[in-house]
Amino acid sequence: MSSLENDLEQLKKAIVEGDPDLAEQLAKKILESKMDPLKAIYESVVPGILKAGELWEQNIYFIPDVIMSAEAFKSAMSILEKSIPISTIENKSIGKYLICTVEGDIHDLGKSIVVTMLKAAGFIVYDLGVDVPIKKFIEKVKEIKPDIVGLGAYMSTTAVTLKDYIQALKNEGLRDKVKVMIGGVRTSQEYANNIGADAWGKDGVDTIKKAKKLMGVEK
Amino acid sequence: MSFVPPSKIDMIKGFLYAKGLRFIKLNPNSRAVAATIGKPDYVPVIGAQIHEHALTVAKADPERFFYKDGKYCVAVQLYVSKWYGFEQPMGMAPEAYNYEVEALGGKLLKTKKHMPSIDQSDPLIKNPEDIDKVKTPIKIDQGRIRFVIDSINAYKELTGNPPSAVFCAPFSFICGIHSYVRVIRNIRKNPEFIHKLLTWSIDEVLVPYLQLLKKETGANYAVGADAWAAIPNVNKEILEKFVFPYNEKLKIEAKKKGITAVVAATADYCIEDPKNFDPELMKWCWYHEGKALFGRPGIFMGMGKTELWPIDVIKEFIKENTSMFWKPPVIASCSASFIRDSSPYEITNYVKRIIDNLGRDGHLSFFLAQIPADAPPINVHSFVNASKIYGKYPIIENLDEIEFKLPEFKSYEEWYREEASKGRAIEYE
Repeated sequence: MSSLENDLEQLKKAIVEGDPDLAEQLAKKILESKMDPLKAIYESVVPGILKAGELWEQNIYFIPDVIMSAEAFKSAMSILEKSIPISTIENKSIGKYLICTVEGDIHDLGKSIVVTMLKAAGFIVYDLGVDVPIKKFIEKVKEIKPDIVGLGAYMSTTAVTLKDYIQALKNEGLRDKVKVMIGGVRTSQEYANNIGADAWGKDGVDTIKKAKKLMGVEK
Repeated sequence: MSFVPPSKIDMIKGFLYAKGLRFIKLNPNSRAVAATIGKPDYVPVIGAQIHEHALTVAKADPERFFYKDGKYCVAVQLYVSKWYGFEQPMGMAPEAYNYEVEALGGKLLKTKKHMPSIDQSDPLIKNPEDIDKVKTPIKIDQGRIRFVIDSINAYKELTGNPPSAVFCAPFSFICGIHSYVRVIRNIRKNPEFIHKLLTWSIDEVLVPYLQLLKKETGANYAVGADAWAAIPNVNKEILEKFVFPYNEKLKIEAKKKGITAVVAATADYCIEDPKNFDPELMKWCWYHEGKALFGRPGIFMGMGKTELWPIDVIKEFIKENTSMFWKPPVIASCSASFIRDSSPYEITNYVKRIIDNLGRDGHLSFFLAQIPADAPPINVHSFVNASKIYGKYPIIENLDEIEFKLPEFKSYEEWYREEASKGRAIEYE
């Protein structure tokens, strides 16, 4: 194995094992070696975070492990992405995903994991942050024209407002142009069905599976 | 275990009733005792975590409820709980994870309509050196500590029960003041600092805070909330190294100050997907959570998808931990989505199934760990109703002989007006 191949392997390992400092160091080293950053992303960074997701799905990883893998992913990506032209990222993407937490709700942890997984899966993610009112959400949907919107609500008092966001999309004539996913501890597939969402994302891994399905990428 | 500290009389009455002295008249507190150690008169629904739901049912003012008026906050919860017929209504300041951090200067993101939350992106202690900048102990005029004190005093006044305090358990507290992600990162990178932070939390913040609450309200019983230390937020290793020892330390230090502190939700099993249920880990969690709550092994169904838990594994655990002097009690529950999304028939059947399988010899009660804002009231009434009908001791051989009926109940508004007209209403409007 060459030194560069070894670095790629080590970078993947740093992400699977959740070591953000090592992931950052290795990403810098890979860039200095003039390797194509896309190669590092597709051969190390993305497989690393997807492996962490698999381990989560298999009940081997718990949330702390996933959090640390996500941190390592972010560290590496922040270095590597800088060297890639935006047009290249857009050409390679599956689609545009706009995500936010609804108004009155400032929970961010689950959403940040979902954002990481979506990026790893090849989506261009527009994260509007937390406590996002309907008006701002609609403005951004019109501006960005995403393929999918993801709405997070983590308290029962805010989960009840999810249907209002969907209604606002209908009122603005946008509902047929965008798929809607919901997520958060107070939501479920049944809840998604009841309020007219297209899918429910149980967690990061489940969200990318369903988002890909909605995009027709996976069955 | 109880959220209301039982008096000695209630302890004795509950104990004697459970041992067969059926002429004793049980009250809600002694019934909870009897249900823990044997058979009461029926399987009680002890109470529920109800703040978001109560706010909705009573059409209460969220700003007053969360920020301004501790007595109002308690009264709203107590009244809705009473309407449902819970035995020991919980009526406490609901933000168990926020008050201490806020009082010390931590940033909360507040909205008028909803419960505030700690800003995890901008914690008070970002780096190890920040610990020295935090001024302790917490004082009465900081944050919403007066609100908390008012709520404890109101609970005492409105129910006649002894006062009890709620606090944030050590691990969850450091997840608030240092942020969960930083805590997890430093558990790997700088574990000495996490140990230091936990020790500081207990010695400088939490025990002095419990002393302050005791001084102002008389509460010498306190329940700590520890949802950050539930599975899968943490794993076994974190629980063993960073959670259990510090809960124990807190208990000991509080006891020295005359306060009995118990911690709830530590090691709560919250894996949601049944295909990922791990029976051995479940039993390990029940053992530890039970020991924290009851002093001995027992099952507290907390925040997980508890309606999906395998009954056979529960039975195995009970068998494995039963001795001559102790049978593990079960405080059963169901998830927030189950109580919200199921039909009254499904809810009734679930209660019936639990009683049939786990309640025939007593040692069973219910506690609804979370009722969401939009849960239909008929579902909650169905749960309580089923518990009283199917759980009446002696429990009949074939519970299917009892015909299913929807519960009859007055609307909350009508019920409240009637209570008010009889002079039994708490004036909170």
